[in-house]
Amino acid sequence: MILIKRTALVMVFLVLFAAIDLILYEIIAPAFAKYARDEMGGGVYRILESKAEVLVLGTSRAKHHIDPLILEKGLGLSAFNGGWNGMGLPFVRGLADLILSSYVPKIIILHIDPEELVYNKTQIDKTAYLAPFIDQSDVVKSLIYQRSFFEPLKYESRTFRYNTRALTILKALLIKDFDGKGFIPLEKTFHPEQYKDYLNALSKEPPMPDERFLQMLKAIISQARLSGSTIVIVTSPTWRPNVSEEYLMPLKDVASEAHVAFLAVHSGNTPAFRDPSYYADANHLNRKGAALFSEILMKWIKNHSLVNKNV
Amino acid sequence: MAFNSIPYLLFFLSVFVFYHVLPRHFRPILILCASYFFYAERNLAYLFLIVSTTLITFCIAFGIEQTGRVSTKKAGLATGITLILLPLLYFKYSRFFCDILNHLMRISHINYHEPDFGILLPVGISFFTFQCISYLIDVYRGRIVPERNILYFSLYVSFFPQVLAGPIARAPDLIPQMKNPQALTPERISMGMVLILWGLFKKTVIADRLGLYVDSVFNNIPFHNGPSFLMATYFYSIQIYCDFSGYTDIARGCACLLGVDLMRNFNLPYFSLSIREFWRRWHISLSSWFRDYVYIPLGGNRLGAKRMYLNLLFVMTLCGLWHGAAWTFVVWGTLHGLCLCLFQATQPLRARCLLPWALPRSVMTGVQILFTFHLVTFLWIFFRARNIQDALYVITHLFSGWPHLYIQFGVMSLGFFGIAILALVEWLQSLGLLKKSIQDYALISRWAVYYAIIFLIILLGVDGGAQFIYFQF
Repeated sequence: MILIKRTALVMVFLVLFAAIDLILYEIIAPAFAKYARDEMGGGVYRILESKAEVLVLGTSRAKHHIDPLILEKGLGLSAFNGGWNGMGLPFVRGLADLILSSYVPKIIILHIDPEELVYNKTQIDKTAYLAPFIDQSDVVKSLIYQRSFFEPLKYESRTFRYNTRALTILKALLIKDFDGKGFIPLEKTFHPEQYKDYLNALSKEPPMPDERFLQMLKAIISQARLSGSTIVIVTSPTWRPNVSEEYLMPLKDVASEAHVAFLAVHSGNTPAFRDPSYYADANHLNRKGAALFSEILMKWIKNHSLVNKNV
Repeated sequence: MAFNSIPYLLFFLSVFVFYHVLPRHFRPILILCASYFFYAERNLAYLFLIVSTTLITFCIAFGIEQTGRVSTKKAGLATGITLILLPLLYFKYSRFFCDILNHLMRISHINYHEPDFGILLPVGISFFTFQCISYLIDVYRGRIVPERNILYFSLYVSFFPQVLAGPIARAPDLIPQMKNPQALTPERISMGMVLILWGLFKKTVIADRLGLYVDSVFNNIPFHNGPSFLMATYFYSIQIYCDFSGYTDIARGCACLLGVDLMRNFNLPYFSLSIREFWRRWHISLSSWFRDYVYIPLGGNRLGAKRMYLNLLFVMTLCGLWHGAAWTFVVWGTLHGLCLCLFQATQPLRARCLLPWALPRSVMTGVQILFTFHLVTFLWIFFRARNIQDALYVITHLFSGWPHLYIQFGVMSLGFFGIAILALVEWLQSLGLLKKSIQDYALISRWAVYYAIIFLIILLGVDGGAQFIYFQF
């Protein structure tokens, strides 16, 4: 009798849990979709709302290096920078899927560095930033489920999709002034001597791409093509002495295999970038450097007539 | 398998269900198997370590009891303690002492080839080693009769809820409970559940969240300045408390559901009125261990003031070294020892100085709590810093670079929210406004508490957060 009573109590507890979970989800999900626009996942809505014809995707180097206003002015198309601080290829794969299943940009500029092709578990883990969209995309779901064996169990809770995002909604209500068109220029000045140890420790060997990450990149390319978008791969300058034509080989190989236009700008082929005043730190350009790089990128797209080329 | 992970949740649920389904005489075997599985899951090789420590302690305790001669008993105790301590010294301190030797050789211009240490510290070694030592000493002192049943003794050493980071149990307290665990009652279920949930809340919502800020400051010292150091230090003070007391609450909750009551390891330590009181409320099982097995045997406060100060300094330095084989911990422990000595030495003077002020009791209490909290928080800088240089850099730059605070909006706001809940609960506890047991509340209130904590963890907890800090000790 006691066992039946206890089992019933456990069942009631679980049913109530499921009910509260659903109620909270029904409250949080619309609020998140309406207000959240920051990097905790809500930024996806900003990209989708922009319906930009030229869309930049990539890491913080994309975010800080490509000025959409320069692209708009030169190409005569609307542009948006969807670069995301700290996010690598797996996240971009999920993000690209979400975007392409909502609208098709005329051109997708995928900013990528050779190191991003190396397997990195942390980057897989960071796909959780897309958790609010897990039910909208099988790609996002499969990426998030790669984080651990128990991930599907966690996402049985619908509220868990909004883990750590409650204050994002509040923040969005308080701070409405988001950066224009997703581009955030860096204002710092670079002092190479501060990075001496870091720069000396860098390997000159090209990074060894991981097959899973290569497949992710290829999937982004083919999905963009199938959707009717032109995709290009670009990599911007760094102050690092190890970045050379040889170092960029893994990226070049992927681009040439997939017949994708590839632009690599580095101090070896663009002497202007040997000037430290263009940098904010060893890996990022500052506002001045970003303007120069965006100009080069815009001209390259224009000169190669890449818009609507669907290569 | 960390306590704050899904695998542990599934593991514990399975053990819990099997435990209460099995006939009583099979239960200790199940718990021992589960404990060894839990320990070996991290590294199978270290299972040998815990089993051998158990066997050595078990056999030597018998030897000590059997022999009639005091000198043989002493020799047995010394042998036992040495054998038990050897793995701890090797795994935890060999690198530290070799570094010291290396440094001494270098300044003496002697060529010395430092051995290559690829040693991984077995988790929980400091904790089960201390349990075994206290057991041997208690047997030697005749306070307890050695346990005849190896099964129960093995459980005392390796009981999975507390094997990794305590509380450091005493044999007279734990072994009888292993033999006769309490029956599972609704009260125990409620108590166990609320302990586990509150522990998880403290770990995932507060400690892991604050840890993100603390790590980004303390791991990049040259890039930060005074306001950020101050914020990170306050955060660390709360982080380490929530991390360790969170772990202890989960351990106590799990043990409670298996019919065992583990000792309370924290008693609102940041409400202490003095540094001495702090050590009576913080990591109680460790501080009482040092008191009973080191401080009192050294003479305690029975041999005059000078000797008492020396004892305090020695014990606290040892306590620091117990936490980790690094100078930061040694300095941290020694400074705590100095503060304890200063507290003792200035007690009459402080009483005389404060008498004319005749401040209201509540004001005095508030001032004392604030002073103690800030003193303890300041000393945590040594505990957290990666080395002494970093600690000194932080201390000397605490008031530089104002008012440029490094801001992580999400981390800080969620952190403050968690701290506010913690402060409210502990303040109500300190005033005695919370009922002793959750079971004293009506079912609706109890369930409301459970759901509130569960959904706060789901919504605000750090997913895949950091390892418990005390696992490294």
